Amino acid sequence: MKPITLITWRLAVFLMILGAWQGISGPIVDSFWFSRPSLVAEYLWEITVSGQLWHDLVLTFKATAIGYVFGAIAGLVLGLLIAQNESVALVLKPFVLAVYGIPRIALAPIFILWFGIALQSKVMMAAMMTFLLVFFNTYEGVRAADLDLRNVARVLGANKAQLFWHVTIPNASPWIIAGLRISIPQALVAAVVAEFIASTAGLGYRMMENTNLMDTAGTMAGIIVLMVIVVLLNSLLDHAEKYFLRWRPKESDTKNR
Amino acid sequence: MADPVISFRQVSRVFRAQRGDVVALSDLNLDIYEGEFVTVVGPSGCGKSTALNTIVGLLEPSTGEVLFRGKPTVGICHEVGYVTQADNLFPWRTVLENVTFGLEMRGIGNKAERQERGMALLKRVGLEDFHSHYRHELSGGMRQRVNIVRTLAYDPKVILLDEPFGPLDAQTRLQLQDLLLKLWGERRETTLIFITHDLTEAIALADRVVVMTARPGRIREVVKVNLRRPRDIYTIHTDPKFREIYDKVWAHLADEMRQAVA
Repeated sequence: MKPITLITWRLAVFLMILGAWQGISGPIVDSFWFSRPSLVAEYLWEITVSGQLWHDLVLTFKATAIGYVFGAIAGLVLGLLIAQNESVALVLKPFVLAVYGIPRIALAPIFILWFGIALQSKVMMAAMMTFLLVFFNTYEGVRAADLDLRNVARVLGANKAQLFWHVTIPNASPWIIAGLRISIPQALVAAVVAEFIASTAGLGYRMMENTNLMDTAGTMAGIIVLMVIVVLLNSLLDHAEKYFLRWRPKESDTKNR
Repeated sequence: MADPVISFRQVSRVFRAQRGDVVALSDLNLDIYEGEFVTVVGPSGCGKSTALNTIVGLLEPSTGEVLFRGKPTVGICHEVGYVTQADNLFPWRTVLENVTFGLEMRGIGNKAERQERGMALLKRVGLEDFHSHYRHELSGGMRQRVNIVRTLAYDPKVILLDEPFGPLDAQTRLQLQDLLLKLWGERRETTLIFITHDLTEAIALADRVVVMTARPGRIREVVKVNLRRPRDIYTIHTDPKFREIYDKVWAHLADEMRQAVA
């Protein structure tokens, strides 16, 4: 399909969804519960003009970004260290799996208890979410090392440190990048959930406030803003991933060989 | 003759497995001399690859020793290059970055010098236009040319090749055999030890063909190939002397193959 046709079709589907929502909400279902695109647009315009949207965005973004950076660094370093050491990795394996199995959102209430209702608890939630995903992916990536390539590198003269930087890291990089990538939207969700539970500002707080006031247009607006942010982040990450993993064959390439 | 470069002295290698031990090599004795081209044939699983792994130091012999210029090797032997059958280019490095890997790890030259040397070698094997390609963008024959050049780059004294042309089609194999002989002709002091399943290949390339027994692997016979060099790889199999040697090697090998399944 030509790009222009593709975009046209996508736009058509988008407008159909909006149109259906606008058409159904009111005559068929109660728009008090479902709101309508026109009401949501009106609300979005209001909070944009008043500066409230920007204020909330900055707060939530700050919590997400700080948490992400710390969580990612901790996950990377610990993942590399633990996976490198055969016996440590063996001892810790069930624990790693257990921690990975915790429904992470369930940690939000206790984090509020520990870190208060201000920025810190949101940062910690985002950090924890990022840490676990990055740690687990890094760990798996290092464990999945290609023994043949390691041996080739050793014969070609690589010492231990060179093996690490020139074989282990690039070999694990698809996993590491996947971890760094999937944890960005997850960090955002974690920060927003913490805001749901207890906070005084931020996107999550605003959504909760609107819901409590039965202002469904406000709640829907929050969902839409989050959706747009995640979609934008994902497309940005897509490009970054393509650049860093340009050495990997594309699906369509491997089929032909 | 001069002193051997590589010597096997009563080398055995046992692999411990749950259902009892597997003896891969048993009492292997062999001297290989500087500038020799030795090929090794034998039934599958006779420990040919194990033997190469003990030379380079990826495996320790269970008993006996492998000597490099008369001295036992400890750990990885850095005078030895190893071209394996598997597709072992680093997928995250371009062709040129693969070729310069050994030099980079050994800290030989600066980046520009390494690249210059890499490019010269790539040019030698007709791949200069592919220097910035990645592994998945190359055909099997091209990959194996890069693989060979990557090992040549740091000039190892001994090069081990484990069925390097195994998965390639017949024509590409011939072309690469021809190329290998020419590259070797340009550095005749280099010793090559080459494992193959293909008898024609083994004889066409070698000064001596080592025929191994079925497991546990030991040497059954070493056949000298006195065909004069330079050889024309494309027509050498029509030489009556070649046929004679072929029949001789084949008789030994067929006998071992029979025993392997008996």
